Amino acid sequence: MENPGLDLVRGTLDLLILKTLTWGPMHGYSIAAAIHRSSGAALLVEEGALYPALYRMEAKGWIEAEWGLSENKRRAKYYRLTPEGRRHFHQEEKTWNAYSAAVARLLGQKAARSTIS
Amino acid sequence: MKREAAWRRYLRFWGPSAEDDVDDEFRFHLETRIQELRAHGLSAEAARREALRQFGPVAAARAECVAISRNRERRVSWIDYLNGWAGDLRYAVRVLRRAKASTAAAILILAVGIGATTALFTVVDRVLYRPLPVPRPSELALVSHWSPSPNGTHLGVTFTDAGYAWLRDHNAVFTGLAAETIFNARERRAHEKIERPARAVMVSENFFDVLGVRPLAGRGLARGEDRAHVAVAGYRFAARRYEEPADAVGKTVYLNDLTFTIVGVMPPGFYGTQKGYDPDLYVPLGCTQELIGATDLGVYLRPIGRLRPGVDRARAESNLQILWKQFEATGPASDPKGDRISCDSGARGYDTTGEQRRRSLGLLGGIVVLLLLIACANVACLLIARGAARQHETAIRLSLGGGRLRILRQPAVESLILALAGGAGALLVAHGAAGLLLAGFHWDKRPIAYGLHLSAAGIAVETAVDGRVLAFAVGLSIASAVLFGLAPAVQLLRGGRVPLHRGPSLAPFAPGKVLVVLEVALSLVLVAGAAVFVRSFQNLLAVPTGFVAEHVSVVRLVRNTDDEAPTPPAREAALLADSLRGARGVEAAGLSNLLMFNDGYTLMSLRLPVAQQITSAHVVSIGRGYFETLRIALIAGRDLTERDAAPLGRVAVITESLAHKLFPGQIPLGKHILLGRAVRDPKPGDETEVVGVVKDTKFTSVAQPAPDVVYIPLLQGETHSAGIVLEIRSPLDPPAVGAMAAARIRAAHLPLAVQSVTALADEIGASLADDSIRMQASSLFGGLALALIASGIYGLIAYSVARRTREIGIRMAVGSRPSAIVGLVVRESLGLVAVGVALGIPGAVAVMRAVSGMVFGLPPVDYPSLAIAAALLAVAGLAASAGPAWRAAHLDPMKALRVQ
Repeated sequence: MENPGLDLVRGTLDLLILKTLTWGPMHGYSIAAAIHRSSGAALLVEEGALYPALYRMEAKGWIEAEWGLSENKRRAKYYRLTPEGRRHFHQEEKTWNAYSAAVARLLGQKAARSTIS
Repeated sequence: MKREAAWRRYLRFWGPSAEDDVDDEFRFHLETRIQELRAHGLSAEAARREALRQFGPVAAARAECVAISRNRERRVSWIDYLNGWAGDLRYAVRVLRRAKASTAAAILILAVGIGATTALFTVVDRVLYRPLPVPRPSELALVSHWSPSPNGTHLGVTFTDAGYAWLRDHNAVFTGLAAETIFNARERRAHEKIERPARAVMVSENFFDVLGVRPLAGRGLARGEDRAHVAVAGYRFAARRYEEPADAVGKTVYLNDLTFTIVGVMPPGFYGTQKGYDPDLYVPLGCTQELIGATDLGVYLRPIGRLRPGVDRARAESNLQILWKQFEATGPASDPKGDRISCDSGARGYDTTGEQRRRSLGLLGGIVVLLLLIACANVACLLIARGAARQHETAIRLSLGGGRLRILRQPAVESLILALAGGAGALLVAHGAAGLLLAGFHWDKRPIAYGLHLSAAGIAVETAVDGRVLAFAVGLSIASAVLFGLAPAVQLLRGGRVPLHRGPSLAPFAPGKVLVVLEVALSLVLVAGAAVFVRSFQNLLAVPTGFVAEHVSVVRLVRNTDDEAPTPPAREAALLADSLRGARGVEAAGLSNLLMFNDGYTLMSLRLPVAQQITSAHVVSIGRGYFETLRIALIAGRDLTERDAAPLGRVAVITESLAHKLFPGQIPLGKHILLGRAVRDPKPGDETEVVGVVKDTKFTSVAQPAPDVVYIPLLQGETHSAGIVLEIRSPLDPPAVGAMAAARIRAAHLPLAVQSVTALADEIGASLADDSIRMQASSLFGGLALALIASGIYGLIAYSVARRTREIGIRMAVGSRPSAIVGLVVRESLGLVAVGVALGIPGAVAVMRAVSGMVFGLPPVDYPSLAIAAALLAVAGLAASAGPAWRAAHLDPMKALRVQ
């Protein structure tokens, strides 16, 4: 099965996880599923990479974890945003938007120039 | 939510690992995915493979998660741990502040105990172990010169100027080789009549360069100044003699009547190369001849060098040895004698601490360690008494599952706070005590001279608290915290066995009793030791000296002219003595060339003209009135007078025991002896006639037996002393006598100057300085031990009375008389003392044996001292129980019975 989507840059994954968690507490599996779903399956998360990112962010205090019961009545670890994580997410989101806008503008110009020549 | 997670982790700190958590999480993820895939119709095996594929490398992710998790847990547990400490700290401070009295008592006791130990450490450190205050002291090497002696050993000999110069100029191992020699000079300023003794060091011009010390003000010695009349002042000297130390630069001083210009002042704390000496003035070595008037007379030249980088002392020694062989070969008429050159570490400078002083320090060390142990036991008692009230609380905590370590940490924190507070107080105590100890330690066996501020000069070592002392005090505080915190901790853990339903009650206080008994045993050792030294000192004072020292003033006279007269001003002093005799307030006046005990002595060979056997005796030159003034009894013959001058034939007065030795069974008067040089090569007229016999007197020390003494007329023979001692028996105090003598000198225009005025009794006292210090120090520490033991017993008995309030109430209710209650309490206290004394006797006996070499006139085991010590402890026990006993006897039975 060939890779249908874009590889995720590290850091971008953090942003996606934080974004996903703004909807509410979730366990690792549902975070992976949500990213997959909401990106229209365009972004491929290698699910194994999700967990170290979660642990790192927990250590940084952006998210916190708690064991709870899942929908299928199993013990699962739930993650939720901390106030600090929320602040961090908003800041990162702004940076990302500015960055992606700049990249988009750049790409757009280049495309325009190439049509002229 | 976060806190719960942290708490769960804390619980699991020793248990399940982070791996399990990660595994749980991964398993949940994979199983959920597999379930979902199977719901989409995949086979079990295909679903599993697909789930794993989507997950990616499991092992790598797992390792990473575990690592992060571990790190985090460690941090969390640390924070939790520190939070626990902070909580304990707050709690301990609150507890300590609530019990103000016992906290203050504990801190005070610790301050004394740790302070005394720290003070002693300060002294030992300064006197024995501290390196010289110069840059890189470990590079310094002391060079000494040893000559083989007939009995196979080597004797230390001095370097000649040429020998030193040879080593200095030819060695390849030192960056510089300096040399110095110490001498005691007379110092005065222009227009001053009174000279003061000055500690001087003659140093080579590179001395300060080799040591690497720069002056505080002015400059050091410059090249080519080896014979210049310049001097560098020590800081203390400059501070003592001038308004501002730096003012000394450019001033002129007279040293042995030669003028020297002060060119620099050394920084405070610099004391040359010999601990405790602290020179007043450093003068160029080339001035030796001018200053002392002789080349080799008592000049002990000692070189000190700074090793080149990478050269060790062994290499330096072999290099110098080879050089010395060459020097002996080239030297003028010096035959090679197999001399040795050795290099010793100069990091600590010259060590002049005698064996006696080292032993005294060792003794003091033992005393203060005992004192510290007693102090710790005392504080432990206090803490236990307080801890007893908390047993209930501990029992509850233990039953709730509190960890033992965790519960013990709290009292440990409390102990540590107490110890550190005590340690802080100890630094104050140590500062004062170290000053006192050092003052005693550097007492240079000279009484304090009236009108001269010698005493300030006596203390030559700084006592400021510094890093080493601070570290020692802190270390000691922590060690004592462990010591005194141990017993309460054990007791706290035992608290777990106290049944909860009993409620808060005061338990019997067994550990406290054990500690107090131990304390008494240790105190007995200290108090008995103090008693031994006090009794020894009394014995020394009671020893008959053969003369009466009371009301005798000692005036030391020197010549007051610029000419370098080789003889002492004997005739001038005799004129002065004559003019003083009969003056109001003067009962008698005598003269001598030296005074017993502190002036040193002259030993001369002695034999009878008819016999070949040579003995020796002390020789004192005296003038008229010496025996009368000191009340030395004349047994036979006559006193010496000013008319006994050499041309009329030599005469002498000898002591009783010498007369018995020389002329057993004969009348010594009219007999002849040969003295000094005449013993080997008698010429006609050299024979000395014995014209009188006097009682024996103590001479160099009160503790030593009276030696043989020959008294010869002051005007008859040559004497080696520079001054004359005038003894005056008078009810006036010494300064008044000195002023009178000075007035007579001025009135009669005599070429004399008063060097110092002292009381004869003080001179003897000064000769007992070591014994006096031992007595004072041991009494001080013995007294402290008594105070500590009294407070310890008081605490214990007061606690015991409080615990037995109900019992006492019952006793009183059934008709016990107050006196019986008092007896009950006092008996408890005295019982403890009795057991402690019995336990302490072997230790006390061992200590007595150990110090028997330092005491005078007592058997190795002095039972009266033991009895005195036991009695003092009993009195302390009585005094300590008096308060609680009174309180117990005045209890209101009705109230007492209501006490739980």
